[in-house]
Amino acid sequence: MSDGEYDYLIKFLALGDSGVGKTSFLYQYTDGKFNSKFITTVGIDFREKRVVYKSSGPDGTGGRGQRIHLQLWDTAGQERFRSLTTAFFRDAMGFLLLFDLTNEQSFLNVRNWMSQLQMHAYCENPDIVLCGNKCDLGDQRAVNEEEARELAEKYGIPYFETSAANGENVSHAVEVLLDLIMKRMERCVDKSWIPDGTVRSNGHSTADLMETQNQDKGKCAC
Amino acid sequence: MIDLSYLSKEEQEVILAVLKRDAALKKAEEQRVKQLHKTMRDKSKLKYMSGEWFYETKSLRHGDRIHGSDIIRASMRQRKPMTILELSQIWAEKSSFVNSENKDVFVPPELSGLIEEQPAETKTKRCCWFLPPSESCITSHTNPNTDSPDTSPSTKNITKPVPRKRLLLYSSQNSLLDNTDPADRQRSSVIPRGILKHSSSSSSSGDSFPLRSPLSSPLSPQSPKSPSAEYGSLSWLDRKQVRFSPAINASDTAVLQDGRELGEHGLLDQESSSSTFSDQGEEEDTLNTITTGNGVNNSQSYGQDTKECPGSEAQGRHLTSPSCSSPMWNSKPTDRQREEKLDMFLGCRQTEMRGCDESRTQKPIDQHDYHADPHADQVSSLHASAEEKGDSVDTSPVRTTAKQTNIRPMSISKSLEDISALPSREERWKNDPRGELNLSVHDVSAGLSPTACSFLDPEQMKLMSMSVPAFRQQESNGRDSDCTSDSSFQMSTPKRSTSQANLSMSSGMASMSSVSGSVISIYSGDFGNVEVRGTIQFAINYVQKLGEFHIFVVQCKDLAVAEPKRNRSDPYVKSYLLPDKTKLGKRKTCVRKKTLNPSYNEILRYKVGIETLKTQTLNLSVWHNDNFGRNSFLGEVDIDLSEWDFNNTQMSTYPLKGRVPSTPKPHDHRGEMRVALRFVPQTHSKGSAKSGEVQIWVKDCKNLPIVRGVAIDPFVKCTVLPDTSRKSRQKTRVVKRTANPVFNHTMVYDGFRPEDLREACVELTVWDHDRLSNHFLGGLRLGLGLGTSYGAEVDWMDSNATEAALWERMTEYQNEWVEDWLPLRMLIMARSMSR
Repeated sequence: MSDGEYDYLIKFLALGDSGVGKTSFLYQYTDGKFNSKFITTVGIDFREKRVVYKSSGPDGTGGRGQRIHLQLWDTAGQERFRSLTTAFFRDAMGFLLLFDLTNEQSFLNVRNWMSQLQMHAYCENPDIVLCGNKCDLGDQRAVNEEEARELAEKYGIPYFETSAANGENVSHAVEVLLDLIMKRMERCVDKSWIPDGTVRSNGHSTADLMETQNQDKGKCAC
Repeated sequence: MIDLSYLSKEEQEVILAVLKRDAALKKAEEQRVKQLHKTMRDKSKLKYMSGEWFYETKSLRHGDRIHGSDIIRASMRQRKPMTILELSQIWAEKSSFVNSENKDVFVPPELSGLIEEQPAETKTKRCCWFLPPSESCITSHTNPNTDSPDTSPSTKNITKPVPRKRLLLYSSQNSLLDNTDPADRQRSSVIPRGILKHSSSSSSSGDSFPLRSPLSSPLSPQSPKSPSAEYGSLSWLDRKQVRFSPAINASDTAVLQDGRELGEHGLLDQESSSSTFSDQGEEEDTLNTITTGNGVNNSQSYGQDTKECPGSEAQGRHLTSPSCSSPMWNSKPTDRQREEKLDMFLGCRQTEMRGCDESRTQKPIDQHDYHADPHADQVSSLHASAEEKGDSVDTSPVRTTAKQTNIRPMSISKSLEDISALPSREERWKNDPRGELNLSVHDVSAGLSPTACSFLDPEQMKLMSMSVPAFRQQESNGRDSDCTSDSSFQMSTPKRSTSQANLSMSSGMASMSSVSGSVISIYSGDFGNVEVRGTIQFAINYVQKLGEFHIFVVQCKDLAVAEPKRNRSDPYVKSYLLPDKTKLGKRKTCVRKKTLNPSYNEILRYKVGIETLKTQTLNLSVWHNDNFGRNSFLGEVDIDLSEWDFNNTQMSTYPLKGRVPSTPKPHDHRGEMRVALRFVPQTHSKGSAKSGEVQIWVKDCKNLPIVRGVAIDPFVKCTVLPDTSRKSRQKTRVVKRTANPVFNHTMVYDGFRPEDLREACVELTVWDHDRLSNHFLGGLRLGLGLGTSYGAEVDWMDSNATEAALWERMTEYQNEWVEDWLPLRMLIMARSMSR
């Protein structure tokens, strides 16, 4: 945090089968480097990066960009760490779901990861970006773009073919995810059209105990 | 708490170092947020700058604000799992904004049972977003006696491991079957030959690719034409083996394939038999029992359940499946299973609360145990019976057998099996008293699995087990929610049973099957018999910037008392944008407890274009949330948005209206399809019986019913019955946003002997492709419609006159295309067809 202030702390989490390149992906993103050696992640790790976000919305909030501090959680893909890694799903605002384009099984497992997410994430439909990694290894490709795209479409999430080795689409994927989060955030709190003072609760469509209990607290929060 | 004892000391240190860094970051963040609170005036901005929007949402879902890292840290500190209470104390110590506030929000499970305000509903709800309706349907009636979580606080403390991560072998399951030992195959039946499907004129991969594993290549021992290598990983390409088996009990092949198209057959299940359950998360207000199709018995038996006689569970089930002739379905569940389920249910909740599952590591034992249970198969059969219910109108023994065979493997693949359990399963099968002559597919498939198991190399197995983490969880969550609704039956008062019964009687599956989930709540006549009175105040607005429609629900006044005994109502408001009655189109406010004048001040949002919106009707209904029984209808308001002035964002008060009980009105009009058929006999026969191919040219459809929003994304599926295997299914592409799609897709099935044309039936079904679940639009069956196939009575051989006429013309004019516009209709799905 030595580099001073920021406006938002945004937490992402990378997940996917073991060996699909989550760590490399994040390393490429934060440091622009690639190490082809395979080092398995022990449980969890995270990297950080500071970026400036400029709203791309129609109203184009232009002006000064917002300073984002990204905390990028890296998870072990190995099964044995599963219980540990899933505990972190709840803390992430967005997800980078990776598979290995040269490994079909990792692609088939995307579905399972999706359901893991839906189960453990902070909400039922969190923002996710699907990344087919290792696209530089064209000759070893085992998953074609079309089917990956189709799957992503089915889930309604963006899909990118990335390469942690040469950096292709890596930052783009993260940026798209960031954009999704920022949009969601606005959506979450925009109730400008409602007369002042009437909104107490968050307006979330799910009823909950907390909501009822915190009603008073909520009153002053908005 | 998570059992992290598997971590080595070094690993722990590494992880702790990471957590330390995280803690530092968190601390800085807290500082920043603190600062923000001091300086930031704009409350809503504060909310997202501080990340509060996120924590709020998260706590709504998880019931706490506990950080994953805190869980891990605590887990590491304490080598033995702590109790939740201890945990909560640990967390309660911290009260920083980011970290917790858990004094407010964190409710240890022990307490939650005691706190009345705990809406079971939210617990249920959170899991069902991705839950295929079929599963919910499977589980929802299996256990009416499960103690409701809110009534049994003591049981909540059970920290018994939850068989949560039951791995599901769905993809390998395919291969298990396909790699069938020929002997077994033979036993299973008489598959005279395969029909080869080839050269689909356009891609037919559809959405079936996602879970294709290398293992699932459709090898067929029977087919000389399909060397496994050829099909290895190319199975989704056009050319694939289609096993066309006239024998009904061979249709196992189809069913085991599921899992792959989960989303999709979820949809069919939803459509074809058990619509309500797709919505089960909350729809206690809908008639859970309706879809069982035997409402009378149901309501009665559940009524009895209220008296808590220990045996009533079995009894209840007995009653609910009167049409199931197989003794299998009548089998009594053991207490053990019940406990198991209860545990699963409770455990599920618990782990939810904790956000982590300590149970995992203990699971293997547990699983083993479970599967070794000689009665385990009965659990499947219970599932089967639950699944069965929609079809209960039909009592044909053949049908039942067919269903049995179809369902059986499916429940295996869906519910109970997992790799680690295979050994014990094997044992079970060895001891299985059922003889070898038993043709039931369930035995066949059971017998096969161990065999096929050896096909898997251990490494592969490991891989599989690693790779399918979530499925089981999904299901236990499904169970979770279902148990909640199950428990509702215990409490359901006799007063309701009558109307329930009526409805379910009148709503044969045919009429209900087209409507999805919540439609029941929209159309059904039973709303709990509470009078309607009072008003609702709300404002609506279209937020152009976000492309969202917002309904600001302010309050209700003077609502009726839903529970006279306790003199209370726990109302919430629910919205739909009609005609979209799908679950995805539902929004709800939170429940306000014990009030007839609830104040909500909540926004219900829809991401929807204004043009679409203007074709819709806003339906706002008020319901009493009953944690134990069905929710009761308290009144509603409909706003025709086509006439709405969207500049009007004023809050308005409307009187609540009652609902005229109307009979379920499915779409009578389903549009038409133009299809051409051609039978081309193969001339170059090599001695063996000459066969030919049936070509089906799906040209276009018109006037398809618009079941959701303003636009549908139709596609057509094709299967040649009686072969219901997934492999024989072909699909057209999805044509986006039109009720008049042009497909021009030709499907080819070969291996037809001329005489097969009398026995087979081409089923074409039109679907609206939706992200999570497709919606059935209509279908047709091209065959002779004689009611029998290869000597067996089948209900899918029900082609009407026009359909049969086309088929006859095809038979008559070989080598020529014959074409017709045929009206689409409701189909009573052959059970397996819906897979």
